[in-house]
Amino acid sequence: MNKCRDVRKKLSAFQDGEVNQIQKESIETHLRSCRECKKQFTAMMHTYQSIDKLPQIEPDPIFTQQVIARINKTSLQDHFLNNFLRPLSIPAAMVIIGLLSGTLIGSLVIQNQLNPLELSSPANYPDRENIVTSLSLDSFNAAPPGSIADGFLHVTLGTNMDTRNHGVSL
Amino acid sequence: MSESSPEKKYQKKIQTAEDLMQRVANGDRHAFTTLVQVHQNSILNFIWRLMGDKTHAEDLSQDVFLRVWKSAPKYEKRAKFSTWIYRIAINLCLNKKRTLKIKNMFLTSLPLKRQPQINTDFTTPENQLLKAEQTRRIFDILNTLPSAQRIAVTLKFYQGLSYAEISQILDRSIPAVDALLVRAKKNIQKKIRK
Repeated sequence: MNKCRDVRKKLSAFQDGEVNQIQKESIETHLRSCRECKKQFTAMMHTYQSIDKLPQIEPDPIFTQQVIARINKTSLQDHFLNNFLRPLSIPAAMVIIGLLSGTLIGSLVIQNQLNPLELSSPANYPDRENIVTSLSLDSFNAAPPGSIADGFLHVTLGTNMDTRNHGVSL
Repeated sequence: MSESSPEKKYQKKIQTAEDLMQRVANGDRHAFTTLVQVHQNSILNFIWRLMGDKTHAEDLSQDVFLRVWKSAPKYEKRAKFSTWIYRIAINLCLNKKRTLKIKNMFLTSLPLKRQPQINTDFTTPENQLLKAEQTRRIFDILNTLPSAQRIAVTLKFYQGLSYAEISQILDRSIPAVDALLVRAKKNIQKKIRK
């Protein structure tokens, strides 16, 4: 029984001619006397028989020329790459990096200076409110031309109507 | 062992390929042409048996030799040329299979999915039909095997390499190659019984 187990472990290598002479003779002797092991070996032989008869295909008669042509083509590409593209790659990369970083920095600066969305942000609201108020006060005219206040000021200050109607400093 | 034994001849062939590779590494196109002519048949058939498609086999064989040319400066004479070139071929085949698998995932809904090209230009029409059917049956069997098992079977059965050589190509131990082939044979048996 142990003999069968040992033989079966080696059957595949035996079939492939990968056992030494002593193992080969021992397995051959066993196969002559053991029906079960012989049956297993026959089944194993069928595996290779089933995939046998796969024909050989012939390479294209111009196979070598095709390979050489491809090598020439890649050599040309490599030549072009090494002599033209590679020397240009560093300046080109620098220009691209410059453009990208310029765009990034520019957008950050603009975003920090004027972002209308930030007005609606509650976190920024008090500061923004002060700025808006002071801008409104700068353009506020307490005595618009033709108003009572304007007439009053005209009388009390005695100034020319044409020269004083551009805002009042309060 | 006599001087003209197949082993000696094989050793001689290996030596020649390695010497040629040294010249190829120095940019010798003549040596490269010789190398292609000597190995094109075995590489083409090896790839065909792995891929099951003649067009892919032809394209990939060219890729293999292109890679040999480009990588020649990195080739170390200590390594067997056959081991090296088979590794290149296997890597390219596995990459191609991966690409095809991804491609097929997207193309499964299309009705005109490309079928493997089996036609191998057999002589008479009757023979052609018979052998094409036989070839299709064999590829049906081989297609059921996982990649590693299929590679091992192809290298052993079709390319006639030893377990030691296969173990070097696949970077596995000899018992691991043995186990791989045992599993492959069991899978083939299962397929035949169906």
